[in-house]
Amino acid sequence: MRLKIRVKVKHLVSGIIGLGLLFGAGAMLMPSEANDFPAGTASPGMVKSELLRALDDPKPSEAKWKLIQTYVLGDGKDRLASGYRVYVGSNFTTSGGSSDGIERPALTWEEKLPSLRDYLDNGPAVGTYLSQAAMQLALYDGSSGEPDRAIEALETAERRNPAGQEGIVKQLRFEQVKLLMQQGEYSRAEASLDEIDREAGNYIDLDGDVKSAKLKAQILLHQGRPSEAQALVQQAISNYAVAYKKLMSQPGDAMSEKPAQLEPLETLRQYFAAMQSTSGSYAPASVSGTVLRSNGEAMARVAVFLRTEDAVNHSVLDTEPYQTMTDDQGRYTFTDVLPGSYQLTIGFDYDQIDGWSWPVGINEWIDVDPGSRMTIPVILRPLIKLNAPVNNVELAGPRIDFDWEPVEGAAYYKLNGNIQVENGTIGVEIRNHITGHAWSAPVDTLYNLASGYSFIEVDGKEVPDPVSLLGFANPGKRFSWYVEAFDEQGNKLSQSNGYRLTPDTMGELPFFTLHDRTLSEGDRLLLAYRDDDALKAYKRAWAANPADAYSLGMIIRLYHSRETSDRSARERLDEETVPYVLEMMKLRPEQQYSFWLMNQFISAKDWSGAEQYYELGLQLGKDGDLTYVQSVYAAALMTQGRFEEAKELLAAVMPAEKSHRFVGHLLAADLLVVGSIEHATDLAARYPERKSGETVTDWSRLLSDLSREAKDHGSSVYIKELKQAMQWQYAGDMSKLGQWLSQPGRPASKAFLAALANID
Amino acid sequence: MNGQDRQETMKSALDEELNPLRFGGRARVLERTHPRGWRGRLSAWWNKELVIPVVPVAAVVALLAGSLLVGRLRGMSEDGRPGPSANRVLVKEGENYYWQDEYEKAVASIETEDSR
Repeated sequence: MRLKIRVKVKHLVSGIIGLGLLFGAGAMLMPSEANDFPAGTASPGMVKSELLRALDDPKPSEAKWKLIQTYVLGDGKDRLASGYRVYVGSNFTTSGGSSDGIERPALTWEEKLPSLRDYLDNGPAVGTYLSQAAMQLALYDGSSGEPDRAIEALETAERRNPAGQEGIVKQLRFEQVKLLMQQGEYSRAEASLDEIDREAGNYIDLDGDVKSAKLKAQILLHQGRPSEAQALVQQAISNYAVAYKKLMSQPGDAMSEKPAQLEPLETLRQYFAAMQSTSGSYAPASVSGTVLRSNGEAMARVAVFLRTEDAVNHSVLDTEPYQTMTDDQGRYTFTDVLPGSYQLTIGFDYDQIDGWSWPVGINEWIDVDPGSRMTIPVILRPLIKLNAPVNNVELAGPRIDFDWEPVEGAAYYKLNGNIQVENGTIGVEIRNHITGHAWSAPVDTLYNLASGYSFIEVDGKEVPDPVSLLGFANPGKRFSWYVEAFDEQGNKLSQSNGYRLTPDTMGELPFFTLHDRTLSEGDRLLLAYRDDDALKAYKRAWAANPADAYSLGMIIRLYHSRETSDRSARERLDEETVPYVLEMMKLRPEQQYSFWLMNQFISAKDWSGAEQYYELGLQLGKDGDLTYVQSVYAAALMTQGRFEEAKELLAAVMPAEKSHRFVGHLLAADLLVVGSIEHATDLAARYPERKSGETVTDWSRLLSDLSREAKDHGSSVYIKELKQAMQWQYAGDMSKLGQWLSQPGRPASKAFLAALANID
Repeated sequence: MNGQDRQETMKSALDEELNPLRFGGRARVLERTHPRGWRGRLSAWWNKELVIPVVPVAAVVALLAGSLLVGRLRGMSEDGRPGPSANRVLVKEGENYYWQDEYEKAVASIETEDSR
């Protein structure tokens, strides 16, 4: 039987239209991707206009609350330390997607506010949504000069929050305390903290304890009661140790708590210790400023962090004490700042940083003195536009011409190259101190640049990656480049590399290939991972043509790379390399070879050789940053007992060398020449050591211990003995030094000598 | 009465009964059976009856609806380009950060320029 339907055209047409309407509506409501969202809510792929329309619906509904939860509250902006996409700081930049992996349409605060307020007043009190809404509003209102409104939001969330969520309530209270302190209402803040403590149950809350102790100590300091604050911090740290131990004995919970959360208290403890030893003032300071684009546009609602020395080497944490959001004028303020050294880190969303950079230099420290009011402006600059070579252009000529748009106020530029290798990229400084906005050179200048080496595994063996050894001398390989601009003082002004996310900001693609040369026999062997054969081939080529600087350079590079992989053979390899480097200095004298030779002569204690190549290196590299080499040479002068020269050189280098990693030698030289602990103490305070990533020596503290010990022993005799011990140590007279060290007592002297021995 | 008479009688009775009735729909009937002008033709088409075989037509409709659904689930949009909020991947190339899709488009456009 064949089923048939008899239908008039008009009924068919109206039927189709009806069905179409039904499907269309269904499709609009239906999720466009498989996900965990309940039917009727929107999808992660929802576009902004759809979302705004749905949020604008005045009728409260389950679906609308779900939308707010996912798209407005779920964007993470209740926590400054994780709600932004890019964090730019002095020592590093971190970038990442949203914490839950959902990329949401970026809503402005103005677009979010109605939903936030609506949810706080009327939304369902499930999960942590109410507190998220309140925290976001508190941040916004707090940074908009409306702290009362911010506190009100927090109170509303606390009131509407269902019973049994003490943790959330506690967090809301802490935010209230911070806002009260911002307004200068310290007694109310104190009362609120006491209440939090009273209501705290018996459960362990390390985070809460640290926060509470830190805020109380801040209040006590503000009230001029530093000794009480210090006692409180000490007590809190020992309580923490007990609680942490207890927590670690309960498996499961332990992993979530990290001692990094103790940092705010550790900073306070160190601060008290430092204040005590130098009998300094306890007065808290303030740091404020404005975040602007160079065209004057205010950067509203970016996150600003003032980070302590302990904190700058890890990513931004929720527990860090000084964090805020800029207001609509781009302004930020931190009050109750403990005197000390800090760095700024700024949190941006993609649309805020796209096409711009904040040109903060490495080791840009903010030294906050007691009671001071500091203003630190933050200026974003547009990314430098690159003109040539770009867009994978194939260059076959004997010269290469780099060209970029000038930057206003730039005194010089630094041109950098990048070589993609298997395990990442290798950066190469092509040329520094370029005064114009272009640089032209014979292309073999690039071939002879020494790059770093990376290692790869071949047949289970770690070998230097031939691509990294060849560098730019690899025809057809794609290279990239970028420039940085600096002012006369060497402060970074701008850069060409950064976030280029839209067709407008993307600019030219900074890639090119070189086709001027063909691979030599040595190069081909190297690329085939036969580096022993390659070395022989390069040696043959150089023997055949003594003017072949490229092959000679590759011989040196191969020796250096072996040194990196086989440290035990370092001395032998160095000895083998020296004749080649000496030949290279005749053929193509360069700063890098000169300083390498200087180091060899220093190791061999051949002082006249060291001096010769030091002087030569200074001439060859007169435009570059020589502070490191000068410091190394100064250390060699110390070894020779030429303390006055060393002191003079180090004193000249110290202001420009911002990490002050060799300040210990300066202090030793100063003690040896001037002979006054007080004088050295002043220098230590002026040039605090700032090493990133490793432990830092607190020279001020070592000197204050020395000073105390000197008083106990009678200063002049004490210093005379210390000077004698230092001379033995620098001269390497280990038997006399060992004898002196084996005598009991003088821990401060011994600690100072040990710290000197560890400078590198 | 023979058959003829009976017929005559019936006819006269019918004529008498139908006498007050006059057929006035001639024009409308003609219009329907032989439509003239666009209005008439449209109306005729509009009221035309179709015979639709259920099985093949239902199969085609099901296929269409299915493919529409799948397309929607895969998040395809008309121009094949993800919207501003779709899950995009950030890539680092030449020390710059790009959205992967924009970057690939830019690279492709360089290549087409080169091949010209």
